[in-house]
Amino acid sequence: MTTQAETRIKTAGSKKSLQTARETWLFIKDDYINGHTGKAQGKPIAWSCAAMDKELFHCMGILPFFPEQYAALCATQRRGGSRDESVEKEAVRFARVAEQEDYASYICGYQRVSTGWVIHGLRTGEWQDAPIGGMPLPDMIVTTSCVCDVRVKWFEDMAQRLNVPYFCLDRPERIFEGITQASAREHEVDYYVSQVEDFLRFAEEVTGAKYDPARLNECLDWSYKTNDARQEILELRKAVPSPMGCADGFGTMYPGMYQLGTKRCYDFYVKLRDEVRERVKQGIGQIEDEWFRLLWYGLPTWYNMSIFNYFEKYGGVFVYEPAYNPWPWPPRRREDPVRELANRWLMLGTGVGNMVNSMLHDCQQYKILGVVLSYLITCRPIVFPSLEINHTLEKSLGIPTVTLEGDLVDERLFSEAQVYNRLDAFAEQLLQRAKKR
Amino acid sequence: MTTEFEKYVTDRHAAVKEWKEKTQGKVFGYFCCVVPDVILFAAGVLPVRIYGSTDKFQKVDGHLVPYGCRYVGSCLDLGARGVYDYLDGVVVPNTCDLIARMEYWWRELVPREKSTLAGMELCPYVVYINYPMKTTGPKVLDFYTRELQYFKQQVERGLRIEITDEQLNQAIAVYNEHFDLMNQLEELRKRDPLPISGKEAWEIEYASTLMPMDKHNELLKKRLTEVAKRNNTTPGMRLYLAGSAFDQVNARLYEIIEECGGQVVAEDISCASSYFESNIELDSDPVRAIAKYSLAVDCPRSTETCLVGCSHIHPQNRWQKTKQRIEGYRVRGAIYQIMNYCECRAIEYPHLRDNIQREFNIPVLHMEGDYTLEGLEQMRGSIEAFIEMIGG
Ligand code: SF4
Ligand code: SF4
Repeated sequence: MTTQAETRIKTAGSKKSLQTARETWLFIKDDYINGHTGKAQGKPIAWSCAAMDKELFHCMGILPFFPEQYAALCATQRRGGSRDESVEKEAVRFARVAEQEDYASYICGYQRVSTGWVIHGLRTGEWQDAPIGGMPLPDMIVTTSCVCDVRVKWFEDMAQRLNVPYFCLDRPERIFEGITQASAREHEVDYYVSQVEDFLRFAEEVTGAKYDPARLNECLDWSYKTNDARQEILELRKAVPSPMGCADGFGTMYPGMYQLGTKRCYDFYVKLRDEVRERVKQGIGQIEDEWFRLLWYGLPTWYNMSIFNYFEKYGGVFVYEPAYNPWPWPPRRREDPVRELANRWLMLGTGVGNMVNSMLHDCQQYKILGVVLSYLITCRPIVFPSLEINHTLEKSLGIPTVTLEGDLVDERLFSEAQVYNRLDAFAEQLLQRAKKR
Repeated sequence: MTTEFEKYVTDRHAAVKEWKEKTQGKVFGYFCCVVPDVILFAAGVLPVRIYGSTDKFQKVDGHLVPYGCRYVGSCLDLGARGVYDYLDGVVVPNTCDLIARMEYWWRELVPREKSTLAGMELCPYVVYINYPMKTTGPKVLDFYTRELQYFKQQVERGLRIEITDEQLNQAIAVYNEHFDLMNQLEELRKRDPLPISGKEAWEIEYASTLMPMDKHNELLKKRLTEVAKRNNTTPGMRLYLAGSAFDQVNARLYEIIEECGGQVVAEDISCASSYFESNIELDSDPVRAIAKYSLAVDCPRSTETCLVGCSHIHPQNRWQKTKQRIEGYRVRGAIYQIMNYCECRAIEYPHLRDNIQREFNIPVLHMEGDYTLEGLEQMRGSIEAFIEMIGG
């Protein structure tokens, strides 16, 4: 595959509309500081993945870090915090290390960046020669089996390199056509319950911490309330003009994605919800004159978040991104919190039909005029349904789409000029449609 | 003269259709080695593995993105063009990311009249098997046994038949005989000088995924006797070959390697009986026995449960199996041909490479495949240089 090896993207951060969104960075910084301090004090550290049940860590006092999130962070920073655009991004530096070790360039950028950093650390011992001082080194590596194959193999590979205990929480991959399905088959639920129980035993053995269902219930209470607040935000985001766009959506996903099950996380979203609610009440939109609304399908280009403001000059705003957002959970089940987790997760499906149907639904709910399909060359679960989404939206709702090729963190696969040309043409098309309405 | 095995390599569709015509039996297609084809065999169904071709894509370009394995794309394209119109059902396991999604695309793109009542398909044409990602550990076998029971019920319902334990046990006996015979073939491949070429061994294995297993056993028995007696031996540098999906397209690599002075004696190529190391243990519950066997299939995307407090703190399954496959074959080099976008194999490669080099002290050659004959031809230079380098 061709890579534009020496492309440097003039990346800018996104322009955030919301005050609370600016606090995310502090949240992240605090976590890294706590992690490094905790590590020094002997607190257990886990590396885990975005689809893991984070409450299981929090209820046991394990500090989780996420190579996906770390790779995204590396995509935003240059070595030594440099702002000089001739200095390559840290994500590119580490991806190169991985590629030199024969990891193929079509593998997910999250894998190449984090594995590259691990190889760099093992070779040089300079773990901190990396953004924000690197992640604290893990006592265990825990992944889930769902969404993609990459995470299973990648985490397994990192565990082998670092010689730390590895655990894969195997979540049955459910395939169905609808958006969610309340009831999973009995043996799937039983299996997932057994996987969580197995993980708890494993974590107890590795860290010496004890699992206490009451403590898990507390964490799940916080999650549940957080989920409610986040759903309220998603409802508010349907308003016209759009009070909160994708830049803020992606910019505020960190606490909900990675620190779910804590009071801090809940407080963050309550504050965010209040701010969004206020904007809706006052009719304040992302921009003054909103002509058309867009949906961003897929994961963001972390190295260039300014793309989310790109359409503003045409009167276009990104209003919604399906990725990283919560879904309505089944009721709490305090008598059996582990089974509750199983029921919650197994509502989700990963089939192509499922993705297509949820897009149809989202576009109507958010009054979308056009969709940008982030055509992630290196993330197969996201990219596979894209053409199907494209036909179905056009056929069923007359909604046009445009595709943007690239990786999430490796900017070498992103052709800036080509992308902006395409977006300009798309914007003109949408603007004409919007004016005709 | 074309042997029975070769017939399946050169025109599998005609061979399978001929079987169907003659027996009036049902044929199910399936993806991947983990699918319990023995259950289908027990039901009197001919299970055939779905393979692709070198044809240019005609039907799937607007549906499949170019960032996926072309082998799967090619299988689907053949399906969408009606080439697999003789299939009465298709089994899709949850193996790699793309294969699992064939559940949707095969349903959507492959032309077929659906019979529905109250909006429900009467006999689901595409059956999905939720193969666990973890193949060892507490409750994995319980889960998968229940999943296979469900699979069996779907087949029974679709065909309006009952698959009895007795039928299952008879089918297991046929399959176990197949595994034993394939192991005998492997023993012959360990011999030096080598009595059978890699290509010929591959052909035998490939045919077993397309013809009734009892028939294959008969033919294989005869072939084994003949091979064991061979005086003319097969020359070439002894090599291990690993990589994604070796159907009749990728298998051209066997010939190229031979033409460059090499000879494949052992492999890990995601073809059926690369995975015959274990037999199906007889159990009072045959479905459970089949589940246990199927979990032992060494798929590159699978992982295992690790135990704390012993040396087994992270998965060893892939390396252990690789080691077993190389040991005893007097291999002088290893070739990895990993298909573009086949991430499971791509991620494990550096680890396996390092281990092979360390443990066996042999060089490893890595090539990216694109599932085209031209792409394979372009590998010739590297293979030649590699074999020359080993030969000193
Ligand atoms: S391949 Fe996609 S889903 Fe998997 S880790 Fe990478 S970005 Fe996430
Ligand atoms: S070759 Fe790789 S990507 Fe292709 S079907 Fe097999 S496992 Fe999947």
